[in-house]
Amino acid sequence: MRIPRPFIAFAFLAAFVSAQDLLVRNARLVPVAGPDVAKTDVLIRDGRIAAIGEGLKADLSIPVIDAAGRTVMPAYVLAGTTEGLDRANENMEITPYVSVLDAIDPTRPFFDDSVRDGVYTIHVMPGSRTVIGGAGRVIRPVGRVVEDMTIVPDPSVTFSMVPPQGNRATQMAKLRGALDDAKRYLENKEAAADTRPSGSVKLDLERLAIERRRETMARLLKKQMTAFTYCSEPGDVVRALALAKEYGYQQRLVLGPGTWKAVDLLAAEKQPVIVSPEMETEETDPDTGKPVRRELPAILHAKGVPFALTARPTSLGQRYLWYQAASVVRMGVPRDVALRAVTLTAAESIGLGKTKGSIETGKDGDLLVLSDDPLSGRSWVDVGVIEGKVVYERRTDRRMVEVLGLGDGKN
Amino acid sequence: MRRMLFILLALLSVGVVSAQDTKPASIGFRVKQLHQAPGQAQSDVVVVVRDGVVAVHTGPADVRTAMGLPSDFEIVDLPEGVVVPAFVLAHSRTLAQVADPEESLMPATVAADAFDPFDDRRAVVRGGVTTAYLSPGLARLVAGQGSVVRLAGTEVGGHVLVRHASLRFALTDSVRSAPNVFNPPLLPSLDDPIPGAEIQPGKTRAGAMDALRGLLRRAAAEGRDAAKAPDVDAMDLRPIARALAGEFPIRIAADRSADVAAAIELAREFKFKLVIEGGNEAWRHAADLASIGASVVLRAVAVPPVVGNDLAPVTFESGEGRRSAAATLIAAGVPVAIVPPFVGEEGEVLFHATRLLGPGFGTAEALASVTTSAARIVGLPEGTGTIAAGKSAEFVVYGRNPFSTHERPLFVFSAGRLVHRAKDKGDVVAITVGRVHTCDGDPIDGATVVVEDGKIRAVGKHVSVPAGAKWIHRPDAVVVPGFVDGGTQVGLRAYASAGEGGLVLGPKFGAVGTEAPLVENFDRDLPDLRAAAHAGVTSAALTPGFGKLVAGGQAVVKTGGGKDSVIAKSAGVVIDLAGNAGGAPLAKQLDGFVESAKKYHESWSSYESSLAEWKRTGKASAPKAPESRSLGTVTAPKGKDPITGTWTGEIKMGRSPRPLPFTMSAKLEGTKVTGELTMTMGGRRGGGQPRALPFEGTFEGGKLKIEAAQEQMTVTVEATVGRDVMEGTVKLGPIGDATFSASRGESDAAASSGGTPQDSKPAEGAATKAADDGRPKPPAKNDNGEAWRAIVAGKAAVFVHITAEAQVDAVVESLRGKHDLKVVALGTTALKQGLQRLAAAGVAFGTSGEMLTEDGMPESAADKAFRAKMPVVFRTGASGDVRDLYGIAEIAVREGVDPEDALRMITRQPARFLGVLDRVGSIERGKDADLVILSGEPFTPGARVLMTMIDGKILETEGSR
Repeated sequence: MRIPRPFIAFAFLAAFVSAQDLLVRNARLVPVAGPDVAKTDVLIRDGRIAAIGEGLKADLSIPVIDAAGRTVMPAYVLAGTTEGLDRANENMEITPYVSVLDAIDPTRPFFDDSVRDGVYTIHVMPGSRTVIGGAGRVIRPVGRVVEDMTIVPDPSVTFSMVPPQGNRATQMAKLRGALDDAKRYLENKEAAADTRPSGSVKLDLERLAIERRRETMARLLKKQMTAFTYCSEPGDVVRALALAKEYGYQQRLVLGPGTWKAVDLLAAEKQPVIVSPEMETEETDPDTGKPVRRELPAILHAKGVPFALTARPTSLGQRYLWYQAASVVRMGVPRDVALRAVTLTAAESIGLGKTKGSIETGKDGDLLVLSDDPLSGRSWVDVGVIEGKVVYERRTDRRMVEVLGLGDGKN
Repeated sequence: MRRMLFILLALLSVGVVSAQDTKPASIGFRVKQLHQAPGQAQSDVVVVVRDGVVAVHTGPADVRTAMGLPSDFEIVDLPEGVVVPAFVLAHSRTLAQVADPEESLMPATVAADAFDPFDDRRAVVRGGVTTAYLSPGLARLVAGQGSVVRLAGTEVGGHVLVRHASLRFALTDSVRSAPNVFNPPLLPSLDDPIPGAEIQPGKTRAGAMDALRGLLRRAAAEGRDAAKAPDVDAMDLRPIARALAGEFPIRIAADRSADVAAAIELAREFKFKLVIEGGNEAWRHAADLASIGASVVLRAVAVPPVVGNDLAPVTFESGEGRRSAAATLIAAGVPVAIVPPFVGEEGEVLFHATRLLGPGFGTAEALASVTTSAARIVGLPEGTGTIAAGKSAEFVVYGRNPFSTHERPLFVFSAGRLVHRAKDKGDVVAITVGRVHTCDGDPIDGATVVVEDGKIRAVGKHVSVPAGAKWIHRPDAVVVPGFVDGGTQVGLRAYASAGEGGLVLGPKFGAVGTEAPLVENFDRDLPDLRAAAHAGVTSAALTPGFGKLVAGGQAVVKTGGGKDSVIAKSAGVVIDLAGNAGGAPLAKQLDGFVESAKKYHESWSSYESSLAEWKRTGKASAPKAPESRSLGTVTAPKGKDPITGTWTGEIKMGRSPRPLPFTMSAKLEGTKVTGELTMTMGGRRGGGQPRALPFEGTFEGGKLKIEAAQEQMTVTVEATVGRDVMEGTVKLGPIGDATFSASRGESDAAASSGGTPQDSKPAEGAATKAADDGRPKPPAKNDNGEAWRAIVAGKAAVFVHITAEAQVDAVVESLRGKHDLKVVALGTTALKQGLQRLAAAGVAFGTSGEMLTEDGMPESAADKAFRAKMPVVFRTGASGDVRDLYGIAEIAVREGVDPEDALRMITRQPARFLGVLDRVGSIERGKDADLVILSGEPFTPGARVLMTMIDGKILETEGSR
């Protein structure tokens, strides 16, 4: 019998790099948290944004990037993806005990691309072909092992309202069964903690393993983790909300475009939602028989539901968050809302609203120096910064040099 | 722009909400019958829904006053309407997404969890079903728990009415094929190894019963403790325990007798409330089912009704269903709910119950099986499925008897909200009256005429009226075909002789000849047409006055003023024999008319067939002997004039590639020729103004010389004239000399010879001469020939005004005997002198209601002709008033004609002899919707026109309101 690897809860503290200092000068700033600033400096100390303003003074030892004529914005946040995993889901339906920790492959080109595209906060989670999929993880795309990459170790557990087999009623029955099981496990454990004699703990490896397998669900019920629940139909939203209420756990919804009909329920929740890369659907209007496009982000915005956009690396346009944001602007959503959907709202949706997603004093120094406006198709990431450390420079990026030629980043 | 988009989006999402019908309804229905509950009905009531709550008003007082409703409160009038409680569907498998899982035993599954309240279920709701039981699955031994939901009229969240309505077991064949399930242990070990795929129970009935007994026993023993949730791997037995405790029934799908028996056995053993679902052979166990208080959700047997139905039971693989099953069960005291047999028919639940009507299963039982009984079986509170004042509206409104094949709900209410309103089918009109005289067979009492797109779609006692059609109920009224006047001058534009005083109707047209079709003077906007329509005359033949041998051609027009008012350009020719000596010369003359008309007709027929052939094959058919050509060489009759008429030709100008077209109208008097030459000059592309030059000249020895002079130039023409052609030179003043050729227009050629078709000349070899692409060229049109075409084709009649006895034989011999044409005799002389001969020859009689005097006593000409078995066609005549048509027929009735026959004399008979019976003249499917609604039986005192319909359009008649 395989003894499980000791659970190294805080190993990721041996973090990816030591945080650094950096001064970006003369930038056009898109802080996301507030209005755009035509020209300003941003100072990062110890990996955090220390000051924003014109003509900032700093020690000569601090490296300086002159961003004159260029745009500085917070690094993109991807609120949910199955990229970076070898496979999105287990074959079994209820696997809360698996974790993407064991599946993320840091050598995947996805991470390389993310560095290049400026996506520096990534929530990797199991896919939607499941009942309960397992624990997710928030990482940055830089690091040799997952522990180095980790930002938040176990923020989420994947639920799905979309049955991989059977029907939605059995899906609900299975979800309820698993939640009931977790509830009873917690109750038993608490009862046991009261009665267990101290000092004579017999090491029961099998029991420990089983308990570890139940730990994810227990933590969910204790609100230490959040369920990220896939919904593809409006009825899924009804059920997902009811179930979370019934068992009292925290939840974020990941929405397919077909859920647009449930927008009023979402508005009443006042919680950010995550829009899957497929953002629109074409339906036949039952009255006229004519096809109608339903654009989920636009409908969400009209009802005041905050949303995060996600990207899908497998198709050309949808692989870029800026492209998704620009598409949403084309649907009629204001530019600032669209930009927030790929930065600040995305960060909030994964519980990182205080540290990521905008350029504000005190937040992590994750920023991008862009050659042009973020929503422009001609804009490139010239310099990428994570917590004050430059992790990407276009002029040294071999692939980009091959594609675009050498230059000062302004070509 | 962007803001607009938001507004648009906002509206869009509002649309979603309104599709849920969040506002309580306020509307009323004046109906014939209200079924408050099955077997409990009230007549002549107004059912009012105010803010979603039902109120019922009876008695003569005005409902708005009596109930204090605002004056604009909508009250829908449905004289035949019936209101019934909304339907409860006691079983459905598609309204929730319940594809069967792998697992055979899933008691914890709840069907409501598979129901998406946002789905569009209007297709079901419009059938009157507002509440439905959802099955948790089909082909699994223990599929889970069924739920009851409201399908419309409620907010999301309020839709689940009964979450735990039943626990469902299945003993049918379908459960035998459950797949094997692979269920590895949570943590495999040597003690707990990974097993193979598990074979699920229920592959046989014995296995299924064993598995079910096991579950029931375990649940009875340990599952009662509801607080105890099971392990993740263990089955949740709580639902079974709850069923055993009597919280909800166990519904067992069973069709065959043995399966039903097994279900009864289980119920007896474990003492649970049993509902049989499907139940093809449940009727065999009616007494047993009654003894344990079981109910049956019966799948309506899907067989057509068979006379003496139980003598011919239909056997299903899943048992023997009988149409009398419901009656048998009810008689034994088993509550029965009926459900449709097919997926997709969920909304048709009442229809399927209606199909089972028979002894022991009347309309009250049928209604109960889809309302109260169904509600009770699925666990809805008592009172569901009934209508009562003060409750929120949950009912269905029908336009007529709901227990019929062809009725569909017009309105459906659920939870106080209007959730379905049949779409207005504006183009469909149904008229239900006391009697319909179709003039095509016997009159039909209590019949309905359905009109769609201007045509009659159906007529009869039991016809389907599409929901949403405009429906006119006049139980006291009578519908007859629109009247057809066999000859009038309604709608003809004639100018007063004096001044510019605008339009004065009349004087009427006299004999105009066939070369000047009367129909060209038809104006569909003339007010007399409207007057005719109000008088019930929907079609009329335009007829010329007498005064010429060939008095003129007839045409049939509609009086509705529509775009296609002229429905037959050729509808018979009027021949006036006044002054004709009759005898053999007349017969010969008539022969001549008919023969040349036949030839003309043949030239067109052959053209039409060769055109059809060309269109089919792309090739011209083999040239036929050009029969038509001989027409041109018919011996010229008297008065042949080689010059008079309109000539068209071309002038060839030297090297100019384009010939110059010209027309010339000429008149020959003696040797003197006068006329006008019209040429288009000056425009290179033919854009110049045509200029008319008056000319004078001579015609001698076949040579024509004319001269036309104007200021700038003199045109001199010298030509050799042949038969309708000329050739020669033209001197165009300073421009120079040129050659030209011309031919004479056919109508002129004919006109010059007295208006018979004999001299008509088609274009040479036209019928067979093929153009470059092989397309056959049409023969030249000829108004004389056209007028006769419908006659020689056997459709329309020759209308012959007979004025002397000597003419009778000629007409009978030639037109009837020799040519077998339809003939309508006009004038009373015909009756006086040749009644028997005309009648024997099958000649019809056309009359404007003349009276004869015999032995000093007046007698109706129509009656006399009718008694001699002559078909009679009423026509108000060229100088009569079209509005008198009905009155003329009325007098004929007074004089002895049977009313039904008199009616035909102003409908079917005129249509027949005008060749338009395929479109008007009777009420038949597919014909034009030309109807007259009379206030009573035709020709009874006081009967008046209430409404006229022409081509489906209703023309209200004064006094009808």
